[in-house]
Amino acid sequence: MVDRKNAILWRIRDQPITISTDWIWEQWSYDDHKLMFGLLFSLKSFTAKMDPTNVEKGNLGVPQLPGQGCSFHSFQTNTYKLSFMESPSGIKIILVTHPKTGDLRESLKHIYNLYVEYVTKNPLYTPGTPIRCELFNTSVDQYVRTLA
Amino acid sequence: MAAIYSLFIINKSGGLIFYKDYGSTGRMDTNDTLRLASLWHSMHAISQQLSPIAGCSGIELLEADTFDLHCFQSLTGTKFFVVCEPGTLYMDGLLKMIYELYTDYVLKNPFYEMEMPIRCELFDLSLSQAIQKDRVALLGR
Repeated sequence: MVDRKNAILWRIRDQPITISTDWIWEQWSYDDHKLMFGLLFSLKSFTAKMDPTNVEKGNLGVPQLPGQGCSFHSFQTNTYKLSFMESPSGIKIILVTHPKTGDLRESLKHIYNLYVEYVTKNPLYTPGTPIRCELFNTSVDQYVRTLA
Repeated sequence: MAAIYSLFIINKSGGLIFYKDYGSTGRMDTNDTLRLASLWHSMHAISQQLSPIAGCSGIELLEADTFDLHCFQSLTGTKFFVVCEPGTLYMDGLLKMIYELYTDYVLKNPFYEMEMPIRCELFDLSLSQAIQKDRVALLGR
């Protein structure tokens, strides 16, 4: 989960649920995160410019508010699928899954609901800081495990 | 309504060598298509590095709000991608067919220089036939 300024708020490391291959998430460095933000950011400007149904698109790379312009909800490679959701306040939720998983938009919305319930409604949480909420951790953990 | 919006072919260094529009609203100019092509090339490369499992060959399908993008990369690094309506099926087959046409009519053309923009009448012709056939097949289903 990523905030408006692309700082990592929260991240889960989960065991692969469907297949057991060498899982190298543990080796993910801070550079990989920056790489992912860069990829998502450029993909968003790419889709906004590519949008074949819109006449008024502006130039490539024009800064856009969350919800403005054509965005994307997932991409798929032969080894993984990345699902992406951006809330109106700019919080981005990212799920990396097995390539054969179906549409995860509802799941992302559910996780966002959990975020609203357990994080934003927590009086001790300052917006923009890393999330340390026990209830949020356990509920997301539980939910992600049911997704398999 | 067109099922396919546009087709791009980019060479192994990210340069656009072929672009054809099949009726998307708000046509892009040449500079924009070149920029989009090289942007796609780099994002394809980054997605390979991000893979949690080794042996990733880059984005094959990008699902945006208003379109789907199917990408096929040949062994030599040439990338073919079509932009189509969300949920259009059988695009992988079409991309393979376009790749076949490319090898037959472009690579075997003695006047074609590798990695340069494609200007082959026969390729254009058989490509439009292939897309037409694909559309007819889609309508028949």
